[in-house]
Amino acid sequence: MKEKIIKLWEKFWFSRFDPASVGMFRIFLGILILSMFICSYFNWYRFYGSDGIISLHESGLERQYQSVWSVFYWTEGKINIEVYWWIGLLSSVAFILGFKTRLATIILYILFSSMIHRNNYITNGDDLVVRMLLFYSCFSPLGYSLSLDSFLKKRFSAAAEVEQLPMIWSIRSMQINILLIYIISLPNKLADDVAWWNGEAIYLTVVNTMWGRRPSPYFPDLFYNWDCLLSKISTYGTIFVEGGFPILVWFRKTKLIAIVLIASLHIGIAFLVPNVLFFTLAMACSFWVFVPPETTHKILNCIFRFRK
Amino acid sequence: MPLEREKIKKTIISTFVVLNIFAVILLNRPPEFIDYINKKIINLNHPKLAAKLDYYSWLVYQYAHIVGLDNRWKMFGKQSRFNWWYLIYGKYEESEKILLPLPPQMPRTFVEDLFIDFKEIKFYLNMYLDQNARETYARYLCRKYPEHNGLPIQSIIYDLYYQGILPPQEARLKGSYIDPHVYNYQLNEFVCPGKNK
Repeated sequence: MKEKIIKLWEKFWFSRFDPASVGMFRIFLGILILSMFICSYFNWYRFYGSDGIISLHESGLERQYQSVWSVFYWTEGKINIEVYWWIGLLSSVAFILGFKTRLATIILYILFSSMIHRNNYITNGDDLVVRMLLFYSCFSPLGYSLSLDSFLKKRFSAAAEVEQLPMIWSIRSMQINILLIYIISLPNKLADDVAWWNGEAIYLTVVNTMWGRRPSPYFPDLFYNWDCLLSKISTYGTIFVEGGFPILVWFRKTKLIAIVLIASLHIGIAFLVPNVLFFTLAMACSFWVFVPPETTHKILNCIFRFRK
Repeated sequence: MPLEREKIKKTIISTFVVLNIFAVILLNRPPEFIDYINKKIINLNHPKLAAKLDYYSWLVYQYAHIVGLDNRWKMFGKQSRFNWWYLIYGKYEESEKILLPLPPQMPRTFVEDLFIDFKEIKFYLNMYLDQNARETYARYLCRKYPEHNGLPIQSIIYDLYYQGILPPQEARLKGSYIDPHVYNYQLNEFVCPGKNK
């Protein structure tokens, strides 16, 4: 029995895998991070500067919100805060291209951690998800495929040298953490608000102006008309998809459909709730780590054949 | 790699992955479950064990905080029954309060709203729950907008506006999902540092 458990454990965490999908994950996550840096440019100093929202100069109230777990804290007065923005921008480009991937990943992880610790008030769900993904990425073979690193390695290393496929443990950790988000948040939803039971949750989300502009002022009307039909379908659909994903994604037959459904759900959220765009896209990027490598190869073959 | 070294490596990795999963679960325990466990520990009447458990869970909390696994995942759990927003004013010496030119209270294009101001809503939401955050931001605004037409700033005023979201049945009857009446009250007035009220 003990041996069987050890064998299963070994297979689950330490089997070798084709990291093609991880390469796609890196590219999509990199594009998202690059966009986040570009969008943050206009508020960078206000959010993270020494005299920004949380001043490093005042000794009173703000000091209790200053975390030492931020490089900004330790380099204040020595390195201009804008330098970090440029480092973030260049690292995201390197991350997308897969150039010095490990280093770029670690730099981005440290930067995101520092941003969150420097000013927790403006921390969004997207910052937290990206930081979590980058944390596991630091240990993952992100530069193994679809990257400049792998291209250069193949080009300049001896032809006879065959590289061993990487172990899956870091990607498994990431997968489990992603699934835990749903496993944890779904019961929270059901316990916190009756609207998830009576089908009004999406109605309440859509009509709330706080979450961004609507495609049309009449758009929310769709969600209370016809006895809340659209709201009920989308509310129960959300529960079904979020509840089903952590289970269905482990089976070969249901894996792809589960990924497509959850990705569609998040893209739908981006449309209905524009102000959580980056969060929901960060979640959508993360689903690449579940995509079977054969599917990624098929997609890549289709793209390159189409381009030819 | 020699077999023994491989075994040690795998043991370290296994400990690491278990620690990460455990940290995420520990930090996301339902409050009722935490109360239940705490009561059980107290009932054990074993202060040494209780202290040890407390210490180790503190260590895991610290680890999760440092590496960034301390997120509490709720994802739209509780829905608001109100549309609410702040208007933040600067009160300048011998003058009426002036609406400050902040992103959420200025005309913005769709692109500015979606991409440049993408952190503003969460920032306002976080401030809603935390008076210290509002005071911290007020101090920043005092520094950022120290005068208006040559008059020095005295204080920062937060006015909260809200409108009820109607239940769907009522919305269908009225043909609108929002209560037309806008309520408002002054949430806070923070005197700028070095000024007297």
